[in-house]
Amino acid sequence: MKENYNMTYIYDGTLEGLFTCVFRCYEDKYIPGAVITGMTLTPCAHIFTDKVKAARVRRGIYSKMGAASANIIFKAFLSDFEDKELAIIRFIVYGMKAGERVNGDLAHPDVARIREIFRAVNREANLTAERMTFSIIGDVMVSIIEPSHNVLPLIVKHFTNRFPNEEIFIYDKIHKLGVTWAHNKVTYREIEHFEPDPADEEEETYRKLWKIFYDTIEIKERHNPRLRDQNMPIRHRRKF
Amino acid sequence: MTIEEKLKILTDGAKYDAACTSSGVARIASEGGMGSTSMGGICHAFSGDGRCISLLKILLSNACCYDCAYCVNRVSNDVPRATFTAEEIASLTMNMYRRYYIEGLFLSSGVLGTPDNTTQQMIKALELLRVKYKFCGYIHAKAIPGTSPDLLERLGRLADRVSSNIELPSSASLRLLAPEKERRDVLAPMSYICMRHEDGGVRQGFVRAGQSTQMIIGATPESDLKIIRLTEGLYGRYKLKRVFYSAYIPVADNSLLPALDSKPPLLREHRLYQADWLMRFYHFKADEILDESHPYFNEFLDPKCNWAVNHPEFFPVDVNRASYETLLRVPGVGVKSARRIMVARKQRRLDIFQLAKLGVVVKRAKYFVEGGMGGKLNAADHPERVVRELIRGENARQLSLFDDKDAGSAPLLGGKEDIRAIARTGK
Repeated sequence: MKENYNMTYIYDGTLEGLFTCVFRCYEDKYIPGAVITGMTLTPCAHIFTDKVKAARVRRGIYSKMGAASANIIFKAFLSDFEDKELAIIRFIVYGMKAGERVNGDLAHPDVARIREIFRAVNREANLTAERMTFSIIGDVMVSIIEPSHNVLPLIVKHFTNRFPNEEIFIYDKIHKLGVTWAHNKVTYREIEHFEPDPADEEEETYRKLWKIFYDTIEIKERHNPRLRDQNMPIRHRRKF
Repeated sequence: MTIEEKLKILTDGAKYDAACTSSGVARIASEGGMGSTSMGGICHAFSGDGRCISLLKILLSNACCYDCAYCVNRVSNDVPRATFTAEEIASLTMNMYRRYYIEGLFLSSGVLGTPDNTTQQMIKALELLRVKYKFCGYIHAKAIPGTSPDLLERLGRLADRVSSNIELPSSASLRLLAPEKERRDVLAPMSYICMRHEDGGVRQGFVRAGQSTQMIIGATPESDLKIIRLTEGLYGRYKLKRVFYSAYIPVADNSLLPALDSKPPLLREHRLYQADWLMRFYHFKADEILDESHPYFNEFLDPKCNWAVNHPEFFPVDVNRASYETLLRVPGVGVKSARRIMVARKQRRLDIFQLAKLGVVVKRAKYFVEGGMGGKLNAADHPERVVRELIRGENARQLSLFDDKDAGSAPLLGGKEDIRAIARTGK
């Protein structure tokens, strides 16, 4: 499909909206130069989310490209990269033509880019889920995270598997999204601002014990803050 | 003694153990329990020395009755002593686990009178954790040399991983520096676990994540070749999951050991881990990495690059046709990128630009693949220039590994002769 660099699509930021954009590409017979959620002064088209069209695109992805490709698309959509919409559209357009073969065509530019995004999201999800900590505030496990992609939906299962009988609240400060796990139920909420209650005495005790452990476990003769910072960027350290 | 003081003393005594992995077994919390484990393991934090913190690594007690010269907990060393109760260990573990500071517990201990008595105390703490607190997270327990098999069996059913440290790379060194430890006592738990695994121990929940060991590097005079041959033997014979190397930090003023002001051999330790990786994932044999005439690692090149520049007949490799094993020999190609090459080349011909997209480190690979640099600068025709470039890259990588610059940076490079000499220092 040819490209029309002068055209910008504006959509509502939902996956269904983006799938509607894909549908529009086939109607217009070109791929736009940009797909955004905000406003622009350059030539643009507002794409209104159409559930029927989106469902057709979704079915097409599953039947032509397979479930593995669908999974890549869903995860890439959680990324914060500015070109994620275009990367997804290009991948779908190429995949509809190439079929399931698209899964192995790792060196094709449209496949390579979305896989790069996919890997970045996975990496950030893993890093976030590994490096975060909880504070126990009024018997609820509370954590605040600042991931560089919208990975909260990807990490929740890890914690519900590990702490099935606990009450958990995780807040993503960057994407303003909170998730609660209580009584075997996961609930997502958009939250503008969240301030946890101060730590109680027991919580302070364990923070202190952790600090003692952390400072003592280091072999001082091997002190290497550069290596530590490389392995553990600031954004993955405790937020409160 | 307060719990803070105890934690400090018993962490301090445990910190020299390099094993901190929480990998090898995947499960989720049982009914009413807390905890899960993941196949790849999880690093929760990194300490000031850049090493990963996964498990709460502590000793049950540092009141050891042995007098191993290389060990900070030896009976003749004048340090404060402490012993945890089972309840203290369980409560610390549970509370830190729930706060997600740690992936589980790593429990080791000094020898409390006898190996059996020590292991019994460890079992008591682990039983409390597993039964009363229903803890389903990761447990790594140390097998104390000389423990009887029935206690080892009980320990192994509570722990996911068990390790017994071989401590030093030869029996002669062990005899010299650890008079109470016999090589065969160290190997006995290893053989027992290996034997149990051969008759279905994993399915019965016995040491499900396998066993590991560690040895101290640089305290005794063994060559690198001897160490990697020993490693190869341990992986082959006892089916170990990991062998860890720990650069010796001087903890004792003893004429048999390096002086107190000597620096830990970090580069050597790093090279051993690289060689270890080559043997486990890259199909290298110990004797391919080093040999009798070159028994020590090349300081300036990693073992894989070193092998490559010394085997020009193997290159250039055609990435569009080469077998998986051949791809793994190319510097800059890893396990993941080799797999991606195998998949991607079925769809289209790969050139050097596409290799970059597949995660290959082109900076190194370009000298060793066909069409890498338009045939101009390749390892076969211009070995000196290639070695020079590789060393330059290696220095940049090492800057972040070793903060201490003199730990292993190459000298200012002179002419062709110097480079040839460097390339030859390894193999």
